[in-house]
Amino acid sequence: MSSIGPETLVRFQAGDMEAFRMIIEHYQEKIFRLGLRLFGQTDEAADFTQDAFLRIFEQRGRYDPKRPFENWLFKVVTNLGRDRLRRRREIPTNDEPPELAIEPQAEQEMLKRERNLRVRQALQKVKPKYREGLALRFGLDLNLQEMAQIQGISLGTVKSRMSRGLKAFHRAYQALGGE
Amino acid sequence: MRCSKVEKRLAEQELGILSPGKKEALDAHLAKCAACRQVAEEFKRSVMALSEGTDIDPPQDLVQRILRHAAREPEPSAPRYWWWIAPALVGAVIIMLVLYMPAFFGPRIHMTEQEVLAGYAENLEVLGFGNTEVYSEDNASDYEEFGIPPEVAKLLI
Repeated sequence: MSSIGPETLVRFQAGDMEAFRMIIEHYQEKIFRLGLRLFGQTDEAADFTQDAFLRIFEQRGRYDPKRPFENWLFKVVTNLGRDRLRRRREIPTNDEPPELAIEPQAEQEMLKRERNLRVRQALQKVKPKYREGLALRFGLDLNLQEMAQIQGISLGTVKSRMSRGLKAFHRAYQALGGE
Repeated sequence: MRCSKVEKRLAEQELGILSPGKKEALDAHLAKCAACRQVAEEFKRSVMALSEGTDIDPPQDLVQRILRHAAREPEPSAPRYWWWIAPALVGAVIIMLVLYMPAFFGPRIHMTEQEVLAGYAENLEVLGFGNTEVYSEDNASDYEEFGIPPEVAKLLI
């Protein structure tokens, strides 16, 4: 599951900044996109990504090398996201898609951006506990079993939350105009 | 199957957790209900939009920002078992304080030999024995009658 080699992980645990850089470069997109789905805002997703990696660096001594690194990393990041969601006041997503010249290719691009924005806006209308599951499933491509491990809940609870979450997202997305 | 169940079944189908029996019932319902077919189409598009990768990339300076902050971080936090060691140490200190508080704030326990002798000498004076220095070895038993331990009595002789 992990594509960061064991030698890199050993160096990372010893505080090697080059190994840490490799880990950031490998995972930053995934964590950032998880943040976008959880918080909706670009700035907040970037802050979240930064905090997530700093938390990982700070807690590197707690990682058990006998276990998959990616599971540990996603667990730390998910817990951080959950804490942040609990603390924060819900902020409406207002990242506006930039104005683009209406040319065939640009139009497709613009439509995609608008769709992405609607997805993030709709996610913000879904309860945080359901949003977390949707973000893990569709942001990190985790299966239900992996989600149960990372979220620390039973498989049955994951299934139930995901089913409700998808239904809630669908309704919110359609209310915003769907596609 | 009722129309109100359709979204739930569609979600379960999307997650791959819809049982064959329920899938059969869903398909049969969709075949005869145009409104629910429309819902199923919209549901599919919603999930596709959710699955689609976002077009926004992380800020270009993010890696450098993180590394700069990490370089200022203190040493990694201690292994997991440390979480209970700190409170246990605090608890031990509190217990020690409670047990030994009288030693700090109560009467002094440790006295010099002179102080012990002086203490007994005062008592002896009250009892009419006068200055301990005038007593000889023969008086040892007298001391003991007044509750003075033999070890102390030896010092008085």
